[in-house]
Amino acid sequence: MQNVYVVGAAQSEFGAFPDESYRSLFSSAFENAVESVDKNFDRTEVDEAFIGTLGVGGRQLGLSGPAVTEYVGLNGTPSTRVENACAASGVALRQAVTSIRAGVSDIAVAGGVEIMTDMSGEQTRYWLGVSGETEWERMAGTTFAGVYAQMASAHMDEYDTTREHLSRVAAKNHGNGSKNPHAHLGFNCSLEDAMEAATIADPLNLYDCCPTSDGASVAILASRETAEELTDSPVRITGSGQASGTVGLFQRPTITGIPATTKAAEQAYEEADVEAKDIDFAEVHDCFSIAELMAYEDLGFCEKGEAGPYIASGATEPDGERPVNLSGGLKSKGHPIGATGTGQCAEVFKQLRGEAGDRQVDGLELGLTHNVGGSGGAVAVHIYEEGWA
Amino acid sequence: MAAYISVPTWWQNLDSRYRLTIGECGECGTTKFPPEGACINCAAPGSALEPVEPEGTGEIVAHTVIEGGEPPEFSKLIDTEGSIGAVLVELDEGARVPGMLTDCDPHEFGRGDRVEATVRRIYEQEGVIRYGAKFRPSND
Amino acid sequence: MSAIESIGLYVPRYRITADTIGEAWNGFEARGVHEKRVAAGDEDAVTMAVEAAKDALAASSHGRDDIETLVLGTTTPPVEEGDIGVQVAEILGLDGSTEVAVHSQSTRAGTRALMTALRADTPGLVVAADCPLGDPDRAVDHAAGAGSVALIVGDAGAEVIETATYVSEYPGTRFRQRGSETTEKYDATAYERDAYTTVIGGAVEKLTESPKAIAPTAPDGSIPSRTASVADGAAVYQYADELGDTGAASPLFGLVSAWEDNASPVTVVGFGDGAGADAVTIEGLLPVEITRSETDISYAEYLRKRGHILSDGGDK
Repeated sequence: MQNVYVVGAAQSEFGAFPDESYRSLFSSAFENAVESVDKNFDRTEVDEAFIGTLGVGGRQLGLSGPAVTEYVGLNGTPSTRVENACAASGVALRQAVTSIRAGVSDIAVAGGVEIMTDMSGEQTRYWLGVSGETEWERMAGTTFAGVYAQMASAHMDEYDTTREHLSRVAAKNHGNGSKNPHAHLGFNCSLEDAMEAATIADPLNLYDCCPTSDGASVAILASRETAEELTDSPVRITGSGQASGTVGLFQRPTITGIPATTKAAEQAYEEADVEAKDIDFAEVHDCFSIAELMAYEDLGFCEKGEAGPYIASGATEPDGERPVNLSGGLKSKGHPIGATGTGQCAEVFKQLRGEAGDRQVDGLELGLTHNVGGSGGAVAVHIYEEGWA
Repeated sequence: MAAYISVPTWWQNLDSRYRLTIGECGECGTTKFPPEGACINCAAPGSALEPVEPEGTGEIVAHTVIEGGEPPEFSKLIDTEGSIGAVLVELDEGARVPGMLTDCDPHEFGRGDRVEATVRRIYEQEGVIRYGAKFRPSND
Repeated sequence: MSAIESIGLYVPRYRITADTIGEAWNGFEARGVHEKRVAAGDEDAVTMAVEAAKDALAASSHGRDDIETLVLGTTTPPVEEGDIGVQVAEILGLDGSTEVAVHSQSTRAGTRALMTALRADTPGLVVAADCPLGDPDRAVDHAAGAGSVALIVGDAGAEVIETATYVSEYPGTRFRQRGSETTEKYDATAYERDAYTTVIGGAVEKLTESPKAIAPTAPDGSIPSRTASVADGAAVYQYADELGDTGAASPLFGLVSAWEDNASPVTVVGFGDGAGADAVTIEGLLPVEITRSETDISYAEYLRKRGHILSDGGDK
């Protein structure tokens, strides 16, 4: 499958910004992405834009794609909003990849934006609930944390996963996020603090749950020929995969993993002609600590049921054999729903080009991003390598 | 503000809301809740599903207790009962159903416990009270 | 229909004692009530009616497809307009041609429901379900409990020997204003006692057989004993001492108490403020007992469950 090049990628700050709008945050991410392009970039050359956003808060539900692309001067550019809950911009990325592979675009923009912190408590709880299966699961009182907590309860009962394993995700990701100037919760957190935090939805506690955040992210993609004019240090997407799963946990064949992850990853691995064991580092979707553990298994980084021992071995620490979530993950970096997918792409882009500052790990060659919508209704997986092909 | 489930949407599945009516696939025999849409096993179309009223008994296969952050339509329930047990129950007929625990302390039950269905108030929206099945500990 | 074929009942799990309420208020104000049941935040007259109905059906040789009449009696319908009888019928899965009626307006509604079902030619389900509420500082609330009783009427079982009814207006003894969640009393004790004994007496004296055992409406555990004076030393049965005021269901809980004691015949008397009384004499016994377990709650939990201290009055 034809390679597509990431010539620029960046995120805005993720956090709580009462004085920012979804447009101003998108603009911030877009300009950061433009700045990350090595050579001169003319935004009027963008052929197509795909913007992921859930529209939390009910703001600009209609035409939110054009609303942000016009704002940054992409006048008249075909612009489409992508919705797949938290997988929105991961899927937007795939749409941009597909557009270039199809020869429809030479330059395509994929991005996402979300504002989540400006609503009342009641509104926030309402909007957090709508990523789940609304008619039945939500009517069982299952909050978003509740669905993942149910998966955790099953995973911990069926395998040797412990409370400590869950908290290791938080401690690791906060350690990484503390070195990320764009992180929402960029502070360190000890394993003990993570284990003793207040319960949110048993067995998940406060430190097992990512925050709600404001933020935006953008990736600028190009075909091979156009990329040569724009970048000195190319990062190419060698594999793209997407899959769907049931929206509700109750109709799914398994409750201790996300089948759509495995399916999307298989497709990406095949396109990239690699296997799970070849992946050097990854940005995975740790909306809840259990989600990162299940991702290790579903992506093939370890055997089914072995995620607990795997993280305990230190394998996914920055100095481990396969660092995961060097950006701080959703837990520390933040999770503005529409912006997370391309935000993950931005981290991989930086790491492969040696531009990740204090978070930089040397010698990384093959990266993976994993972006999940809801509890697994949609998943997008991408694989990246550095250099021309 | 509550999730907008319109009254007609709620009404469309009253037999499943009240009596947990499930669908049995005429092609492969797999049961599914609610009885609509493609078979979750063999993807045979929804028209192949035969409605079946189950016994209402089953086993908890996933369990969590919500102490806060609940969907706003359940704020009053948290106020009156203190916490919500949200479970996935595998009915004896095979289909899995999401539901709330009721008539018990949700902390004292978990995976593997047997439950039976009972009808309780789910929530009220725009003046219309929605009733539906919840699960309480079973004696068997 | 002329007989009661089976009986079912339901009481909520939560229980509070008179002592606990008394400690909060410098004294417990409902006479003869030692403890009572409290509906959970997701229960109401509809859910309790369904529970008792299922219990009665389970004890019956009739299946739900045989039931052609459904009559509910309650003073606390969850909506003021909107046929909750139809809702209960739908929840139970009764056929669409079922004759459905709801009696309300006073605690006589349970026996009204029974009288209505007895007049039908077809097997029927009678359900009295109630969870009255008063202002927390008033005796009405101190007494107020919750529960439901269901009867299946047919042509075989415990025989209904005779019935009688009597009405006479005694305004304002006990009432709930439109739009109000709470029941009030005029609180002139002699007047209220006069209403109770005179109107119950008016129904009882029309019976050909004076009752040996009587199960009257029991708004508390004390006033029912006054019926002994109008029913010539009859044994008085009630469950208010343990369940509190179960409203329209209370005379049927009195029947439960009588049957637990193997008393037959029993005259069930539903009294409703307004006032009116229905007397139904039943001969024969059916096995019945209250087996629901209990969980004790504190006064603070009681106030929360009843919605008294929620900013929007709770979900009741």
